[in-house]
Amino acid sequence: MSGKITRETVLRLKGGDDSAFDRVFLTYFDKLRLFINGIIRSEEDATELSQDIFVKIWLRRESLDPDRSFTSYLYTLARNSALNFIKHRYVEDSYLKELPAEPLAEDSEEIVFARETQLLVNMTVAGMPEQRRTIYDLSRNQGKSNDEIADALKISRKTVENQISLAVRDIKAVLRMFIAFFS
Amino acid sequence: MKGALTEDRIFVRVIEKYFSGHYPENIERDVQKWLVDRTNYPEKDRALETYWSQMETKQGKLAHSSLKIVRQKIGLDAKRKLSPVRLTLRIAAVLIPMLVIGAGIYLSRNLTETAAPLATYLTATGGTVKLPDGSSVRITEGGVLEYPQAFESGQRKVRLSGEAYFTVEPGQEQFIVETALLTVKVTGTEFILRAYDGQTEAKVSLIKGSVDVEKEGDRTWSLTAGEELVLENDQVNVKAIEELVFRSGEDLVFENAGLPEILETLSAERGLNIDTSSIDRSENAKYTVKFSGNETPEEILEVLRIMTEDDITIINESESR
Repeated sequence: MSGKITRETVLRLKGGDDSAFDRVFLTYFDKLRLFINGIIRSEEDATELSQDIFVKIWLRRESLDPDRSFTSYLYTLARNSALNFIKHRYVEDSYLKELPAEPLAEDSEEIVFARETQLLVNMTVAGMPEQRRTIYDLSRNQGKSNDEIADALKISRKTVENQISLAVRDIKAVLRMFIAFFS
Repeated sequence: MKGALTEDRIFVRVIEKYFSGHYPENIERDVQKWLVDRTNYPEKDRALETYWSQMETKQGKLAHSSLKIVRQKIGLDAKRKLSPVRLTLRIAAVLIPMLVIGAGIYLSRNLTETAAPLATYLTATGGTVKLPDGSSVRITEGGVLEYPQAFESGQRKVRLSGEAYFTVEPGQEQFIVETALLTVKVTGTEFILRAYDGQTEAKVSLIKGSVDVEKEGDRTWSLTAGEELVLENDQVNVKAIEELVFRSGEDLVFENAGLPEILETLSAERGLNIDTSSIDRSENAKYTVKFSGNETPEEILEVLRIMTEDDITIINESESR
Protein backbone atom coordinates (compact mmCIF):
# COMPACT_ATOMS: atom_id res chain seq x y z
CA MET A 1 0.00 0.00 0.00
CA SER A 2 1.50 3.27 -1.04
CA GLY A 3 2.09 5.71 1.74
CA LYS A 4 0.17 8.87 1.06
CA ILE A 5 -3.31 9.92 0.25
CA THR A 6 -3.54 12.46 -2.54
CA ARG A 7 -5.57 15.63 -2.47
CA GLU A 8 -7.73 14.10 -5.16
CA THR A 9 -8.56 11.10 -2.97
CA VAL A 10 -9.54 13.43 -0.15
CA LEU A 11 -11.76 15.35 -2.57
CA ARG A 12 -13.44 12.15 -3.67
CA LEU A 13 -13.96 11.12 -0.05
CA LYS A 14 -15.42 14.53 0.68
CA GLY A 15 -17.86 13.99 -2.15
CA GLY A 16 -19.00 10.70 -0.67
CA ASP A 17 -17.07 8.27 -2.87
CA ASP A 18 -16.86 5.13 -0.78
CA SER A 19 -13.99 3.65 -2.78
CA ALA A 20 -11.94 6.67 -1.71
CA PHE A 21 -12.99 5.89 1.86
CA ASP A 22 -11.78 2.30 1.46
CA ARG A 23 -8.47 3.53 0.16
CA VAL A 24 -7.99 5.93 3.03
CA PHE A 25 -9.03 3.25 5.46
CA LEU A 26 -6.61 0.63 4.18
CA THR A 27 -3.80 3.14 4.00
CA TYR A 28 -4.14 4.42 7.53
CA PHE A 29 -6.04 1.94 9.66
CA ASP A 30 -3.01 0.06 10.93
CA LYS A 31 -1.05 3.20 11.53
CA LEU A 32 -3.87 4.55 13.65
CA ARG A 33 -4.27 1.30 15.49
CA LEU A 34 -0.56 0.98 16.26
CA PHE A 35 -0.29 4.59 17.31
CA ILE A 36 -3.28 4.40 19.63
CA ASN A 37 -2.18 1.07 21.01
CA GLY A 38 1.28 2.54 21.52
CA ILE A 39 -0.32 5.04 23.85
CA ILE A 40 -3.08 3.11 25.58
CA ARG A 41 -1.53 -0.38 25.52
CA SER A 42 -4.67 -2.32 24.83
CA GLU A 43 -4.95 -3.97 21.40
CA GLU A 44 -8.66 -4.54 21.58
CA ASP A 45 -9.54 -1.01 22.61
CA ALA A 46 -7.10 0.42 20.07
CA THR A 47 -8.83 -1.50 17.28
CA GLU A 48 -12.23 -0.27 18.40
CA LEU A 49 -11.12 3.33 18.78
CA SER A 50 -9.53 3.25 15.33
CA GLN A 51 -12.73 1.91 13.80
CA ASP A 52 -14.69 4.67 15.52
CA ILE A 53 -12.34 7.25 14.08
CA PHE A 54 -13.05 6.06 10.56
CA VAL A 55 -16.77 6.07 11.24
CA LYS A 56 -16.33 9.67 12.26
CA ILE A 57 -14.23 10.55 9.22
CA TRP A 58 -16.99 9.23 6.99
CA LEU A 59 -19.75 11.02 8.88
CA ARG A 60 -17.85 14.28 8.77
CA ARG A 61 -16.46 13.85 5.28
CA GLU A 62 -18.17 16.99 4.04
CA SER A 63 -16.13 19.14 6.37
CA LEU A 64 -12.82 17.72 5.11
CA ASP A 65 -10.48 20.37 3.82
CA PRO A 66 -8.41 18.92 0.97
CA ASP A 67 -5.87 21.69 1.36
CA ARG A 68 -5.07 20.79 4.91
CA SER A 69 -2.72 17.95 5.66
CA PHE A 70 -4.78 14.80 5.91
CA THR A 71 -2.29 13.00 8.12
CA SER A 72 -2.31 15.92 10.55
CA TYR A 73 -6.06 15.63 10.71
CA LEU A 74 -5.75 11.91 11.38
CA TYR A 75 -3.14 12.58 14.00
CA THR A 76 -5.48 14.96 15.81
CA LEU A 77 -8.27 12.41 15.80
CA ALA A 78 -5.96 9.63 16.97
CA ARG A 79 -4.40 11.74 19.71
CA ASN A 80 -7.73 12.93 21.08
CA SER A 81 -9.13 9.47 21.00
CA ALA A 82 -6.16 7.88 22.79
CA LEU A 83 -5.74 10.63 25.37
CA ASN A 84 -9.44 10.71 26.16
CA PHE A 85 -9.34 6.98 26.63
CA ILE A 86 -6.52 7.33 29.13
CA LYS A 87 -8.27 10.15 30.94
CA HIS A 88 -11.35 8.03 31.34
CA ARG A 89 -9.31 5.10 32.54
CA TYR A 90 -7.63 7.17 35.21
CA VAL A 91 -10.62 9.24 36.16
CA GLU A 92 -12.26 5.95 37.02
CA ASP A 93 -9.22 4.92 38.98
CA SER A 94 -9.11 8.38 40.53
CA TYR A 95 -5.53 7.97 39.55
CA LEU A 96 -4.85 11.35 38.08
CA LYS A 97 -5.32 13.09 41.37
CA GLU A 98 -2.05 12.05 42.83
CA LEU A 99 0.86 13.14 40.74
CA PRO A 100 4.01 11.66 42.12
CA ALA A 101 6.97 13.34 40.53
CA GLU A 102 9.89 12.15 42.57
CA PRO A 103 12.76 14.52 42.08
CA LEU A 104 15.81 12.91 40.60
CA ALA A 105 18.23 14.89 42.70
CA GLU A 106 18.17 17.01 45.80
CA ASP A 107 18.81 20.22 43.96
CA SER A 108 15.75 19.73 41.82
CA GLU A 109 15.50 23.41 41.04
CA GLU A 110 18.16 22.88 38.46
CA ILE A 111 16.24 20.15 36.81
CA VAL A 112 13.62 21.66 34.62
CA PHE A 113 12.35 18.38 33.28
CA ALA A 114 12.54 16.20 36.37
CA ARG A 115 9.47 14.25 35.50
CA GLU A 116 10.56 13.56 31.94
CA THR A 117 14.01 12.56 33.13
CA GLN A 118 12.56 10.25 35.73
CA LEU A 119 10.37 8.55 33.14
CA LEU A 120 13.34 8.04 30.83
CA VAL A 121 15.44 6.58 33.61
CA ASN A 122 12.65 4.28 34.75
CA MET A 123 12.04 3.01 31.24
CA THR A 124 15.74 2.50 30.67
CA VAL A 125 16.15 0.56 33.89
CA ALA A 126 13.08 -1.54 33.11
CA GLY A 127 14.64 -2.44 29.76
CA MET A 128 17.91 -3.69 31.24
CA PRO A 129 18.84 -7.37 31.47
CA GLU A 130 17.43 -8.82 34.67
CA GLN A 131 20.70 -9.17 36.58
CA ARG A 132 21.78 -5.66 35.76
CA ARG A 133 18.42 -4.26 36.75
CA THR A 134 18.48 -6.14 40.06
CA ILE A 135 21.99 -4.99 40.87
CA TYR A 136 21.24 -1.40 39.92
CA ASP A 137 18.11 -1.41 42.04
CA LEU A 138 19.91 -2.84 45.09
CA SER A 139 22.68 -0.33 44.70
CA ARG A 140 20.84 2.89 43.90
CA ASN A 141 17.38 2.46 45.31
CA GLN A 142 18.12 0.32 48.35
CA GLY A 143 21.53 1.76 49.12
CA LYS A 144 23.37 -1.58 49.35
CA SER A 145 27.15 -1.63 49.00
CA ASN A 146 28.79 -3.59 46.19
CA ASP A 147 30.01 -6.20 48.70
CA GLU A 148 26.53 -6.67 50.13
CA ILE A 149 25.14 -7.12 46.65
CA ALA A 150 27.83 -9.61 45.71
CA ASP A 151 27.05 -11.64 48.85
CA ALA A 152 23.30 -11.49 48.40
CA LEU A 153 23.41 -12.57 44.77
CA LYS A 154 26.36 -14.94 45.18
CA ILE A 155 28.35 -13.28 42.43
CA SER A 156 31.77 -11.67 42.39
CA ARG A 157 32.29 -8.09 43.46
CA LYS A 158 33.83 -7.44 40.04
CA THR A 159 30.60 -8.52 38.33
CA VAL A 160 28.65 -6.16 40.53
CA GLU A 161 30.94 -3.27 39.64
CA ASN A 162 30.76 -4.09 35.95
CA GLN A 163 27.03 -4.31 35.94
CA ILE A 164 26.64 -1.04 37.79
CA SER A 165 28.92 0.75 35.40
CA LEU A 166 27.01 -0.74 32.46
CA ALA A 167 23.75 0.39 34.02
CA VAL A 168 25.07 3.89 34.50
CA ARG A 169 26.34 3.89 30.93
CA ASP A 170 22.85 2.88 29.66
CA ILE A 171 21.22 5.66 31.60
CA LYS A 172 23.78 8.22 30.54
CA ALA A 173 23.30 7.21 26.92
CA VAL A 174 19.62 7.96 27.19
CA LEU A 175 20.17 11.23 28.97
CA ARG A 176 23.25 12.33 27.04
CA MET A 177 21.42 14.87 24.99
CA PHE A 178 20.15 16.62 28.04
CA ILE A 179 22.94 16.31 30.50
CA ALA A 180 24.65 19.49 29.37
CA PHE A 181 21.38 21.07 30.04
CA PHE A 182 21.24 20.01 33.64
CA SER A 183 24.79 20.69 34.65
CA MET B 1 18.91 29.40 28.73
CA LYS B 2 16.85 26.62 27.39
CA GLY B 3 16.50 26.51 23.64
CA ALA B 4 13.18 25.43 22.21
CA LEU B 5 14.85 22.66 20.30
CA THR B 6 16.53 21.11 23.31
CA GLU B 7 13.36 21.47 25.25
CA ASP B 8 11.41 19.57 22.65
CA ARG B 9 14.02 16.87 22.41
CA ILE B 10 13.44 15.42 25.84
CA PHE B 11 9.74 15.08 25.09
CA VAL B 12 10.46 13.35 21.81
CA ARG B 13 12.86 11.07 23.62
CA VAL B 14 10.33 10.03 26.28
CA ILE B 15 7.76 9.28 23.62
CA GLU B 16 10.17 7.32 21.43
CA LYS B 17 11.33 5.32 24.39
CA TYR B 18 7.78 4.59 25.46
CA PHE B 19 6.64 3.51 22.00
CA SER B 20 9.72 1.38 21.49
CA GLY B 21 8.92 -1.27 24.04
CA HIS B 22 6.83 -2.84 26.71
CA TYR B 23 7.37 -1.82 30.29
CA PRO B 24 6.01 -2.92 33.64
CA GLU B 25 2.49 -1.68 34.16
CA ASN B 26 3.39 0.95 36.72
CA ILE B 27 5.88 2.54 34.35
CA GLU B 28 3.43 2.54 31.46
CA ARG B 29 0.89 4.16 33.74
CA ASP B 30 3.35 6.84 34.73
CA VAL B 31 3.98 7.69 31.10
CA GLN B 32 0.26 7.72 30.31
CA LYS B 33 -0.45 10.01 33.23
CA TRP B 34 2.35 12.23 32.05
CA LEU B 35 0.88 12.33 28.55
CA VAL B 36 -2.50 13.59 29.73
CA ASP B 37 -1.03 15.96 32.26
CA ARG B 38 -1.49 19.55 31.09
CA THR B 39 2.03 20.65 31.97
CA ASN B 40 4.05 21.27 28.81
CA TYR B 41 1.17 20.04 26.70
CA PRO B 42 2.29 21.80 23.48
CA GLU B 43 5.71 20.14 23.72
CA LYS B 44 4.17 16.74 24.28
CA ASP B 45 1.78 17.31 21.43
CA ARG B 46 4.56 18.27 19.03
CA ALA B 47 6.58 15.27 20.14
CA LEU B 48 3.65 12.92 19.60
CA GLU B 49 3.00 14.34 16.16
CA THR B 50 6.67 13.99 15.27
CA TYR B 51 6.50 10.36 16.27
CA TRP B 52 3.26 9.90 14.34
CA SER B 53 4.67 11.36 11.16
CA GLN B 54 7.74 9.13 11.31
CA MET B 55 5.81 5.93 11.92
CA GLU B 56 6.05 3.38 9.15
CA THR B 57 3.45 0.67 9.10
CA LYS B 58 2.51 -2.12 6.81
CA GLN B 59 -1.08 -2.94 6.25
CA GLY B 60 -2.02 -5.94 8.35
CA LYS B 61 -4.77 -8.49 8.20
CA LEU B 62 -6.90 -6.63 10.68
CA ALA B 63 -7.43 -3.73 8.28
CA HIS B 64 -9.69 -5.67 5.96
CA SER B 65 -11.89 -7.18 8.62
CA SER B 66 -12.12 -3.82 10.33
CA LEU B 67 -13.07 -2.13 7.07
CA LYS B 68 -15.96 -4.55 6.78
CA ILE B 69 -17.15 -3.74 10.27
CA VAL B 70 -16.85 -0.01 9.71
CA ARG B 71 -18.64 -0.13 6.34
CA GLN B 72 -21.51 -1.88 8.02
CA LYS B 73 -21.59 0.58 10.88
CA ILE B 74 -21.87 3.56 8.60
CA GLY B 75 -24.41 1.88 6.38
CA LEU B 76 -22.29 1.58 3.24
CA ASP B 77 -23.01 -2.10 3.02
CA ALA B 78 -26.68 -1.82 3.87
CA LYS B 79 -29.18 -2.12 1.05
CA ARG B 80 -30.50 1.38 1.48
CA LYS B 81 -28.14 4.29 1.85
CA LEU B 82 -28.71 6.43 4.88
CA SER B 83 -28.80 10.17 4.77
CA PRO B 84 -25.98 12.07 6.50
CA VAL B 85 -28.19 13.65 9.11
CA ARG B 86 -29.52 10.35 10.29
CA LEU B 87 -26.09 8.85 10.32
CA THR B 88 -24.92 11.59 12.58
CA LEU B 89 -27.83 10.95 14.86
CA ARG B 90 -27.01 7.32 14.91
CA ILE B 91 -23.43 7.79 15.85
CA ALA B 92 -24.29 10.25 18.58
CA ALA B 93 -26.81 7.74 19.78
CA VAL B 94 -24.16 5.11 19.99
CA LEU B 95 -21.76 7.30 21.87
CA ILE B 96 -23.87 8.84 24.55
CA PRO B 97 -25.68 5.86 26.00
CA MET B 98 -22.38 4.11 26.35
CA LEU B 99 -21.15 6.92 28.50
CA VAL B 100 -24.20 7.08 30.68
CA ILE B 101 -25.17 3.52 31.28
CA GLY B 102 -22.00 1.74 30.36
CA ALA B 103 -21.64 -0.99 27.82
CA GLY B 104 -24.80 -2.68 26.82
CA ILE B 105 -26.52 -0.50 24.28
CA TYR B 106 -25.40 -0.55 20.73
CA LEU B 107 -27.45 0.68 17.85
CA SER B 108 -25.49 -1.33 15.38
CA ARG B 109 -28.46 -3.18 13.96
CA ASN B 110 -29.89 -2.03 10.67
CA LEU B 111 -32.75 0.38 10.91
CA THR B 112 -36.18 -1.03 10.24
CA GLU B 113 -37.45 -0.89 6.72
CA THR B 114 -39.75 2.08 6.75
CA ALA B 115 -40.08 4.66 4.06
CA ALA B 116 -40.39 7.69 6.34
CA PRO B 117 -37.12 9.04 7.71
CA LEU B 118 -36.28 7.62 11.09
CA ALA B 119 -35.30 9.78 13.97
CA THR B 120 -33.22 8.41 16.73
CA TYR B 121 -33.90 9.98 20.04
CA LEU B 122 -31.44 9.34 22.72
CA THR B 123 -31.23 10.87 26.07
CA ALA B 124 -28.31 11.01 28.41
CA THR B 125 -30.40 12.20 31.27
CA GLY B 126 -34.07 11.63 30.53
CA GLY B 127 -36.65 13.53 28.56
CA THR B 128 -39.88 13.51 26.63
CA VAL B 129 -40.49 12.82 22.97
CA LYS B 130 -43.67 13.89 21.21
CA LEU B 131 -44.48 11.45 18.47
CA PRO B 132 -46.09 12.47 15.18
CA ASP B 133 -49.48 11.12 16.30
CA GLY B 134 -49.47 13.16 19.51
CA SER B 135 -48.45 10.28 21.75
CA SER B 136 -45.72 11.12 24.18
CA VAL B 137 -42.87 9.07 25.52
CA ARG B 138 -40.95 10.01 28.62
CA ILE B 139 -37.62 8.27 28.60
CA THR B 140 -35.24 7.80 31.49
CA GLU B 141 -31.54 8.41 31.26
CA GLY B 142 -29.61 6.42 28.75
CA GLY B 143 -32.69 5.40 26.79
CA VAL B 144 -32.86 5.25 23.02
CA LEU B 145 -36.06 5.57 21.04
CA GLU B 146 -36.26 5.21 17.30
CA TYR B 147 -39.36 6.48 15.57
CA PRO B 148 -40.35 7.66 12.11
CA GLN B 149 -40.78 11.38 11.59
CA ALA B 150 -44.16 10.57 10.09
CA PHE B 151 -46.07 7.38 10.79
CA GLU B 152 -47.03 5.42 7.75
CA SER B 153 -50.71 4.72 7.37
CA GLY B 154 -51.75 1.50 9.01
CA GLN B 155 -49.13 1.40 11.72
CA ARG B 156 -47.48 3.33 14.47
CA LYS B 157 -44.26 1.59 15.22
CA VAL B 158 -41.33 2.67 17.39
CA ARG B 159 -38.37 0.91 18.88
CA LEU B 160 -37.07 1.30 22.39
CA SER B 161 -33.99 0.33 24.26
CA GLY B 162 -34.31 1.69 27.74
CA GLU B 163 -37.08 2.57 30.13
CA ALA B 164 -39.95 4.82 29.13
CA TYR B 165 -43.42 5.95 30.10
CA PHE B 166 -45.72 5.80 27.10
CA THR B 167 -48.89 7.85 26.85
CA VAL B 168 -50.44 6.62 23.64
CA GLU B 169 -53.08 8.70 21.88
CA PRO B 170 -56.11 6.63 21.00
CA GLY B 171 -56.15 5.92 17.29
CA GLN B 172 -57.35 3.41 14.78
CA GLU B 173 -53.89 2.17 14.06
CA GLN B 174 -52.27 -0.12 16.47
CA PHE B 175 -49.34 1.39 18.34
CA ILE B 176 -46.41 -0.98 18.49
CA VAL B 177 -43.27 -0.76 20.58
CA GLU B 178 -40.53 -3.13 19.60
CA THR B 179 -37.73 -4.01 21.97
CA ALA B 180 -35.04 -6.63 21.85
CA LEU B 181 -37.13 -9.20 23.69
CA LEU B 182 -40.73 -8.05 23.78
CA THR B 183 -43.18 -6.34 21.47
CA VAL B 184 -45.99 -4.33 23.02
CA LYS B 185 -49.15 -3.63 21.02
CA VAL B 186 -51.76 -1.14 22.14
CA THR B 187 -54.41 1.19 20.82
CA GLY B 188 -54.66 3.95 23.43
CA THR B 189 -53.19 3.56 26.83
CA GLU B 190 -50.52 4.45 29.35
CA PHE B 191 -47.77 2.12 30.32
CA ILE B 192 -44.16 1.92 31.38
CA LEU B 193 -41.82 -0.27 29.45
CA ARG B 194 -38.34 -1.19 30.53
CA ALA B 195 -36.33 -3.15 28.02
CA TYR B 196 -32.67 -2.47 27.34
CA ASP B 197 -30.90 -4.04 24.41
CA GLY B 198 -28.46 -6.65 25.52
CA GLN B 199 -30.22 -7.36 28.78
CA THR B 200 -32.20 -10.47 29.58
CA GLU B 201 -34.77 -8.72 31.73
CA ALA B 202 -37.67 -6.55 30.68
CA LYS B 203 -40.83 -5.21 32.27
CA VAL B 204 -44.12 -3.74 31.11
CA SER B 205 -46.27 -1.94 33.69
CA LEU B 206 -49.75 -0.98 32.53
CA ILE B 207 -51.33 2.10 34.06
CA LYS B 208 -54.39 2.59 31.85
CA GLY B 209 -56.16 0.72 29.07
CA SER B 210 -54.98 -2.61 27.80
CA VAL B 211 -51.96 -3.95 25.94
CA ASP B 212 -50.84 -7.12 24.28
CA VAL B 213 -47.25 -8.14 24.92
CA GLU B 214 -45.60 -10.52 22.55
CA LYS B 215 -42.44 -12.38 23.38
CA GLU B 216 -40.49 -13.30 20.32
CA GLY B 217 -40.75 -16.96 19.48
CA ASP B 218 -43.20 -17.47 22.30
CA ARG B 219 -46.76 -16.35 22.96
CA THR B 220 -48.75 -13.19 23.61
CA TRP B 221 -50.03 -11.98 26.98
CA SER B 222 -52.87 -9.51 27.46
CA LEU B 223 -52.51 -7.12 30.38
CA THR B 224 -55.19 -5.11 32.09
CA ALA B 225 -54.66 -1.85 33.98
CA GLY B 226 -52.71 -2.31 37.21
CA GLU B 227 -50.86 -5.37 35.99
CA GLU B 228 -47.27 -5.78 35.05
CA LEU B 229 -45.42 -8.32 33.00
CA VAL B 230 -41.92 -9.23 34.07
CA LEU B 231 -39.49 -11.12 31.90
CA GLU B 232 -36.61 -12.67 33.77
CA ASN B 233 -34.36 -15.52 32.74
CA ASP B 234 -36.61 -16.20 29.79
CA GLN B 235 -39.59 -16.67 32.15
CA VAL B 236 -42.64 -14.44 31.88
CA ASN B 237 -44.61 -13.57 34.99
CA VAL B 238 -47.77 -11.46 35.06
CA LYS B 239 -48.78 -9.93 38.39
CA ALA B 240 -50.26 -6.87 40.05
CA ILE B 241 -47.99 -3.82 39.98
CA GLU B 242 -45.96 -3.67 43.15
CA GLU B 243 -44.26 -0.36 42.88
CA LEU B 244 -43.94 2.23 40.23
CA VAL B 245 -40.81 4.28 40.01
CA PHE B 246 -40.17 6.50 37.08
CA ARG B 247 -37.83 9.41 36.89
CA SER B 248 -37.61 12.04 34.23
CA GLY B 249 -36.08 15.43 34.90
CA GLU B 250 -36.25 18.94 33.65
CA ASP B 251 -34.63 18.99 30.29
CA LEU B 252 -32.62 20.96 27.87
CA VAL B 253 -33.32 19.43 24.50
CA PHE B 254 -31.26 19.67 21.35
CA GLU B 255 -32.58 18.03 18.27
CA ASN B 256 -30.32 17.90 15.29
CA ALA B 257 -28.39 20.92 16.50
CA GLY B 258 -24.91 22.09 15.64
CA LEU B 259 -22.24 22.27 18.28
CA PRO B 260 -22.04 26.09 18.47
CA GLU B 261 -25.75 26.26 19.20
CA ILE B 262 -25.49 23.58 21.86
CA LEU B 263 -22.58 25.30 23.55
CA GLU B 264 -24.19 28.73 23.45
CA THR B 265 -27.41 27.44 24.93
CA LEU B 266 -25.59 25.50 27.59
CA SER B 267 -23.57 28.57 28.48
CA ALA B 268 -26.68 30.68 28.79
CA GLU B 269 -28.87 28.17 30.54
CA ARG B 270 -26.38 26.58 32.85
CA GLY B 271 -24.10 29.52 33.49
CA LEU B 272 -21.07 27.74 32.11
CA ASN B 273 -18.31 29.46 30.26
CA ILE B 274 -17.12 26.79 27.91
CA ASP B 275 -13.77 27.08 26.22
CA THR B 276 -14.48 26.45 22.57
CA SER B 277 -11.05 27.23 21.21
CA SER B 278 -10.26 23.60 20.51
CA ILE B 279 -13.46 22.98 18.61
CA ASP B 280 -13.40 22.83 14.88
CA ARG B 281 -15.86 25.51 13.85
CA SER B 282 -16.23 24.29 10.30
CA GLU B 283 -17.58 21.10 11.72
CA ASN B 284 -21.11 20.54 10.54
CA ALA B 285 -22.10 17.50 12.53
CA LYS B 286 -25.55 17.59 14.06
CA TYR B 287 -26.41 16.19 17.43
CA THR B 288 -29.58 15.25 19.19
CA VAL B 289 -28.98 15.26 22.87
CA LYS B 290 -30.80 16.11 26.02
CA PHE B 291 -29.55 17.50 29.32
CA SER B 292 -31.66 17.50 32.43
CA GLY B 293 -31.37 20.03 35.21
CA ASN B 294 -29.34 17.93 37.56
CA GLU B 295 -25.98 17.21 35.94
CA THR B 296 -22.85 18.75 37.30
CA PRO B 297 -20.78 20.90 34.92
CA GLU B 298 -18.30 18.03 34.82
CA GLU B 299 -20.96 15.62 33.61
CA ILE B 300 -22.07 18.03 30.92
CA LEU B 301 -18.49 18.38 29.75
CA GLU B 302 -18.06 14.66 29.76
CA VAL B 303 -21.04 14.27 27.43
CA LEU B 304 -19.69 17.00 25.17
CA ARG B 305 -16.26 15.43 25.09
CA ILE B 306 -17.63 12.08 24.13
CA MET B 307 -19.83 13.68 21.49
CA THR B 308 -17.09 15.66 19.85
CA GLU B 309 -13.94 13.89 20.94
CA ASP B 310 -12.56 17.33 21.46
CA ASP B 311 -10.95 18.45 24.59
CA ILE B 312 -13.51 20.87 25.91
CA THR B 313 -12.93 22.67 29.16
CA ILE B 314 -14.77 25.19 31.24
CA ILE B 315 -12.96 28.48 31.64
CA ASN B 316 -14.78 29.33 34.79
CA GLU B 317 -18.16 28.75 36.29
CA SER B 318 -19.93 32.06 36.44
CA GLU B 319 -21.90 31.23 39.53
CA SER B 320 -21.40 34.69 40.98
CA ARG B 321 -24.06 36.09 38.69
